[in-house]
Formats: sequence, C-alpha cells, structure tokens
Amino acid sequence: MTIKQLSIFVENRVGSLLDVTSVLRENGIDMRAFSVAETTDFGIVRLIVNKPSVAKEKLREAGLTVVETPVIGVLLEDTPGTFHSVLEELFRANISIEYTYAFAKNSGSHKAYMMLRVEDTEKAVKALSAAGFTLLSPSDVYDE
Amino acid sequence: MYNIYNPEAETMPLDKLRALQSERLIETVKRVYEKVPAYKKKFDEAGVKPEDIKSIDDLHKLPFTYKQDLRDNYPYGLFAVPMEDIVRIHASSGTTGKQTVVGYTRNDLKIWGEVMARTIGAGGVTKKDIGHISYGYGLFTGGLGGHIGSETIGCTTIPASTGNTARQVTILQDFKPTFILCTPSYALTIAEYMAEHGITKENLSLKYGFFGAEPWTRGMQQEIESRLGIECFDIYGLSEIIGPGVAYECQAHSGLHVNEDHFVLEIIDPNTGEVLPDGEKGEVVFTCITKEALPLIRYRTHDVGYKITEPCACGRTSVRIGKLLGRSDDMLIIRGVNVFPSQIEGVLVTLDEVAPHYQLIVDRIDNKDKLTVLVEMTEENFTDEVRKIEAMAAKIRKEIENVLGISVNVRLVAPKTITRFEGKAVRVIDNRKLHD
Repeated sequence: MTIKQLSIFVENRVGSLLDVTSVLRENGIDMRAFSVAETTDFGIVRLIVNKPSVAKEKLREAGLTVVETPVIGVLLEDTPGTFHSVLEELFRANISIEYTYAFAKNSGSHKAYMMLRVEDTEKAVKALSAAGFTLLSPSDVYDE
Repeated sequence: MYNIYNPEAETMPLDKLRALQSERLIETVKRVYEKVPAYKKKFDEAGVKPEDIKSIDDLHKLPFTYKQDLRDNYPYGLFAVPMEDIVRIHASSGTTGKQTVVGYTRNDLKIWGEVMARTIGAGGVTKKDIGHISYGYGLFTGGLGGHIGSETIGCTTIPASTGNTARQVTILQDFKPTFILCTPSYALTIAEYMAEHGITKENLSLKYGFFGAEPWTRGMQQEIESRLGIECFDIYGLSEIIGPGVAYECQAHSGLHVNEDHFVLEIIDPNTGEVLPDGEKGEVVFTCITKEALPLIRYRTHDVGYKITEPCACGRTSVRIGKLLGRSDDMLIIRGVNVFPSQIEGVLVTLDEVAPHYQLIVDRIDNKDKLTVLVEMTEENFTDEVRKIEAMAAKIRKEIENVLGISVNVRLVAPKTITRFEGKAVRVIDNRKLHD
C-alpha cells in the first residue's frame, strides 16, 4: 500500500520549477500533492500525480532527473492529536521518518493525507495498518 | 614489443643526436638572422651573433620568441622563405587574442608527416590500421596534422573532422577504424552518445586513441580507455612549432617523447628565463631546427612541464616531457594559489558519483576570491534525500580541496547542463574584475 512519488532534481535558479510544471501542463497531468525540499544550491521537487508513469517518462524526455520513491499516505481526521498518534505508532515500531508533508483529500472534506517517507516502508505499512489507520491506496490517486 | 616507426631517428645514440642538433641549430640561426628582419633585430638587441652559436649548448644565449612576436609580425612577417615557397597556412584558434598565422613549405609538410607518423606509430599503429581523424579540419592544425601522419604511415585514413556525433558513431561502427584522433573531451562525448543509444565498445573496432590539444588527466585517460575499450596515448603539439607531432607518448606510457631531431626542448623558469635543471617544473620552450617556413627560436609555449632524461623502456633515446600540468593561459590564481582546471578534472574522474564534465566560476566577493565548481549530477546517483546529496557534494568538495589546497564551493547541477565542446573546452568563467 505505497504510492509512487516522483522526485525531481532542480537547480536553484529562477524558473526551474517552470521546467517541471510546463511538462505536466503540456501532458495533461494532474498534481495531487506537491512539496519542495530546498537547500542553498538545489531543490528536490516531490510530486504525487494522477499518471506517474507518463509523468516520469515525459519529465525525463524534457531532460530532467527523476526518480520514483515509494511513500505512504495516511488518512487523518481533522481533529487535534491524530498526526501525533501516527507518529507514536511509528516511534513504537522504531521507524525513522525521512520527511513528511500533507495534502487535502478533496475540497469540502475535512480530511487530509499525511505523506510519509520512512526508512523501512514495508514495516511502516504493517505497523500503521495494524493500528487501524487508513492508508492511501494507488486507486485513490492514479488515473492509469 | 614496442612499435617504432623510424628506429634510426627515434633511437639515435645521444652523442649523434646532439651533434645533429648542433649542426641544425647553427644553420637555422644563421638563416633566420639573414632572412627574418624581426629576428636580426632581436639578436642584435640581445647582443648575440649567429657565429656565437657553436653548438646546441649555446642555445640559452639566444633571445626568446613570444606569441606577441607572431602578432606583431602578423600575418607573414616571421616567415623565413618567400611566399612562393609556402604551400600551406594554418592559424591558431585565437582563444587568447588575435589569431596567429603559421606557414609550411613542402618540406615542412614532409617533416610534419614524419613526426606525426612517429606519434601514431608509437601507439602500435601500422599501415594495416584504419584511422578516424576527428580533430577539426581547417585552419586548426589538429585535423590535417593527424591526417598527414596517418597517410604517411600508409593507413587507410578517414577525414571525419568534428561535429555530428551521430554520424561519427555510425562511421566508427561501419568503417571499422582501429584508431582515433580527437580531443579527450570529444572522446567522452562520443562515449556518452554511445551509452545513450545502446552502442557498446564491442560494436566498434577501435584499438588505440591519440588525444591532445587540451589538458587532460590520467584519470580521464582511464575513463576513455574503459568506455571505448582502447589504449590511450597523449600527444602534444602547438601550431607555432608544427602542430601535433612535437611530442608523443609511447607504449611504455612514461612521459612524452620529444621529436628532438626537429624540435629542441628547454624547461625554463618563467619569471627569470633561466634554464632549469632536468626534472624541475617550469615553462616549456621549443626551438625548431629543421623548419623552413617558420623556424621559431626558443618559443615560449606557456605550457608547464618537466624533463625526463632517464632511459625509456621503449628504447627511444629522446628526452621526454613529464605530463603537462596545464597551460599557463588556463592557470588561475585563486587567493595566491596556482590552480589548473586539469587538477579538478583529475579529481572528478576518480569519483563515480559525477560525470567528468565541469565548469569553474571565479568571483571576487569582498576582495576575496571564491572558486565555485559546477559538477553534473548523474541520473544513476540522484537520490530523493537531501542529506545524501549534500553528503555527496561535501565529499567532492573535500577531494578537490585536498588536491588544490584552497577552499572551494561545489554546486551540483542537472545532468547534461554543462555545455559540451567539440574543440577546446571552455571551462572557466572568471567574473573577477582585475583590470579596470
């Protein structure tokens, strides 16, 4: 139950994000979630899209460096403390988190997904499922 | 075991070689004094007469010739023969100023063929081989220099020239050349094109490669050898002396043999002009002792190298130049430290994480020089995690700093974003405003 996230290397210069978004627009690819990790010199754009295979191919054709990274999406109720309980579960299983970001499920809903990149994806999926969390499934995200 | 094109000339006993050099130097000095007004003036100003030169040991008494002398006498002023005897003109790329023009008589071209035949022959090439000449044909001496050497040996010669890498790779596959001449950076461009198109070194018939015209390192040599499946040979030359063919590496790979019966090597201290003891690093200076059209005397090459006088395993008697450390034109002075781009290249080729393509940017911020090295990330090594990439950049930085002895910034850039050059690579952007 993991989601294919696309990670793209971008240089720290004006317009570099446009190189990514223009490929998505030209190919009618819909973004579900978007996050950027930045340093002084470069950034890594992290994308969840509706058509990951097509997006990867088209981004590579445009000369961009792309890797696919498995991430976990956890459904969260809009009540205080829910994210905390996810973290507690991972802590209990001794799983460290590389990074995390959120995206809204869809407009009008009071739910969100936390995207998690962890060091042991398989173990984390088991721990979270066993604890009763709803995980984002590929069919929730992909149109392909 | 060691292939030698002209054993008589290349393994000549040293006493005989020195006598030949002396005889040829005396004749050349006399001739330029009589035929070239600029040299008469130079000699007179230095207070030296042709009769003062009695042997090769008197060479140091003569004044130097500088690139500026070629510019001052542009285009034909230093020629020692009438124009009707000049059969060929070449000109330098002019990257460091006005282009310099050189000329050849029919006999000069014969000498060029001979020294280039020795150069290619030293790699093992015989008339049974097929040569792919991928230096530019034209005013640049690389293409026609390689061509004349290949034909002099009697090889089947393909004048591929530069550019259109797709077509070059097709020729390499279909015409089955066994050796190639090009710039080392172009050899890597070819290797990269092949990798992208699923063509392996087994699809080619290449056995040897002869590379020069820009500084390159042993590490880059190993990279070309493994990717193209060939044995690499370093070649050295400059148009002012003859073009490629001045010095060449043999199968023992321990320095570049100088064609001493035609070009006399000196290593001097670039500041004082004094000749340095054998083995010391300094500026490479050449004197042409057989050329008719443009016999330059003590020409300052601005290349940095050293003399190797120990006998070579190959049996050649000629002096060798130790791996050229770069052109003093390319040399950057960063916070008082001499930096050669080739040193950085030497580091990058040993690292799997990055492609050997790089660019240097020099800035002066708050009166302090700052050197930034742009290095390409490779697709295989890109990871999603910032700290891994930062660790990679830090490792590269540390390795470069170890070699240069100064602090640098390393900036990783996207693959294939650093411009590939087919001729001499322009690797340095100097943003310092050192002159108002």
